[in-house]
Amino acid sequence: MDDSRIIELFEDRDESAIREVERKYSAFLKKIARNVLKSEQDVEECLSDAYYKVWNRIPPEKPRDLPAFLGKITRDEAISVYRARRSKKRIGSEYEISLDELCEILPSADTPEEEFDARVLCDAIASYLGALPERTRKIFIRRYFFFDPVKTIATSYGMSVSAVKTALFRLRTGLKEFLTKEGFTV
Amino acid sequence: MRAEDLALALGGLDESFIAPAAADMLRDEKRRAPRVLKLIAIAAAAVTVAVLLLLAGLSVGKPRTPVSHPEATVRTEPGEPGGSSGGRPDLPVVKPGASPEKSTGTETETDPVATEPDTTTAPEATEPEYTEPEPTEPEPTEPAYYETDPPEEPEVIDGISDDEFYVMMYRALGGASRPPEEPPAAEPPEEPQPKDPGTQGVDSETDESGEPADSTPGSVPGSVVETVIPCGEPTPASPATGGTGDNPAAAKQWYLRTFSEIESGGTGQSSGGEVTPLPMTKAQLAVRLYNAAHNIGVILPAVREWAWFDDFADGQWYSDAVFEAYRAGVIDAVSAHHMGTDEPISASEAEAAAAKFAAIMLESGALVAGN
Repeated sequence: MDDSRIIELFEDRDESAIREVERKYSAFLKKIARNVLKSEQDVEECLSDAYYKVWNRIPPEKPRDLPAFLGKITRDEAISVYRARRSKKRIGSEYEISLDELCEILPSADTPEEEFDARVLCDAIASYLGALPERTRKIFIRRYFFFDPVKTIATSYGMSVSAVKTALFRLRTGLKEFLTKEGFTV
Repeated sequence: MRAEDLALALGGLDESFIAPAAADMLRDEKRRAPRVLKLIAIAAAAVTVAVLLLLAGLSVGKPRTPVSHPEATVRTEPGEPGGSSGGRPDLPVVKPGASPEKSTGTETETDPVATEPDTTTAPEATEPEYTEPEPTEPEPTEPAYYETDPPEEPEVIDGISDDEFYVMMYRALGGASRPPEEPPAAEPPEEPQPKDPGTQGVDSETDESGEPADSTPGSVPGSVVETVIPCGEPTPASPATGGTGDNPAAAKQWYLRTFSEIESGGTGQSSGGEVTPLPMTKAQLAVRLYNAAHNIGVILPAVREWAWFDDFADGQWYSDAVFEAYRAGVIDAVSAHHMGTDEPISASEAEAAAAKFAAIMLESGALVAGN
């Protein structure tokens, strides 16, 4: 079943829409969730919450790209579950590892006084990404949005692991410079 | 600002940024599936071949060891001169069954038997010996020498026909009927009319199977329903039964009345199915069961997760049915990633499916057990 038909099912409030999404995208969505969560039980919980959210969001929303829409919701949901589950010990997921990488360009200490505006930051990042070449942008998104392992990204684009790491390093450095230029305290 | 804040802020990115990367991930996922499948298949094949070779070797080893190779006899000497066979000494000789001839008593130890080299050498090495006793029954062991999948084929041969399907369903459900929710009194007037086998309108098959029902007498071997099928009127079908008690036409009549169509269940096929060529495929069976369930308002409850299958595609006439039936545990896949959608379903598989289906129907309360 193609995506537009699935979206129509959601709009018609037909519950088989969820079933179709599950059938077509569950492997993809699980992969995203697994990048953040290590427990299979958490992954399942994350997915069912994500399906529920999708159900509530379509309509009124009408995704232009269903997999991206689903991936985004799943990712956010996975982070929520991660936060809920996180205890003092680390889970050791790709999510944590990628956060560590991002820490390189951010102050390590919490600075709650800097109540930053997430929306503005997101817009700034979008501007930065918008100026990148397609492939580089994909690498960034896969690593820092979907938390894909470096090795997976390398395999996907026929690159060596070290080449991906280098690209990511440059991306982080570039982002840091860009954000600083935009007035963010980084 | 913390890294986590940054990661969360990224969550607000527009879909247009995410879509290309998501598409790549999807593509990777699809590519990966067949690879995983291959690995699983290879591993499974290697194990089965090793086991089969071992088993085959056990039986083959008996006549061979004493006769053909002097070295082997040397080996058996200490144990038993003649009837060898059963004892331990044979095992090592047999194990390498793959390379029984080339290997002397000592070489045979090479355990790697379970690995690949055997599969290639074994068939050639052993076959010549088999040609001699051909007239007997070395055949059953032959499949063991063939690479991987074949073992399933022999089961497929005994597919089920249309008539057998109805009888099987009747048996599985024990003649269950819909609960008398509506007017129980209204039934009597309906029953006499159950018209001809084909009157349920929506089913295109009824026309066809009406005839073959008569022409195919003893369908399912193990006759069971000696008690007259309470299908209302055993009407025209009775002559078809070969006296076994299985009455395809009556069973069909019961089936049509029980699962009478309300709508096509979404697959575009009627519950009666299309013209079902003799060996019914797994997809055809799934569609029938799916439509039957939906026609009486039952959605097969999922008891397991869907998986990726190399012979399953979305948007096909069978997709919904196979998906739902598999998840409900009504039908099973051939292997981890092969459904066998277009392959004939064996009688035993079909019966198992019917039994599971019947359990769901009765459990759901949509049907009430018959007498």
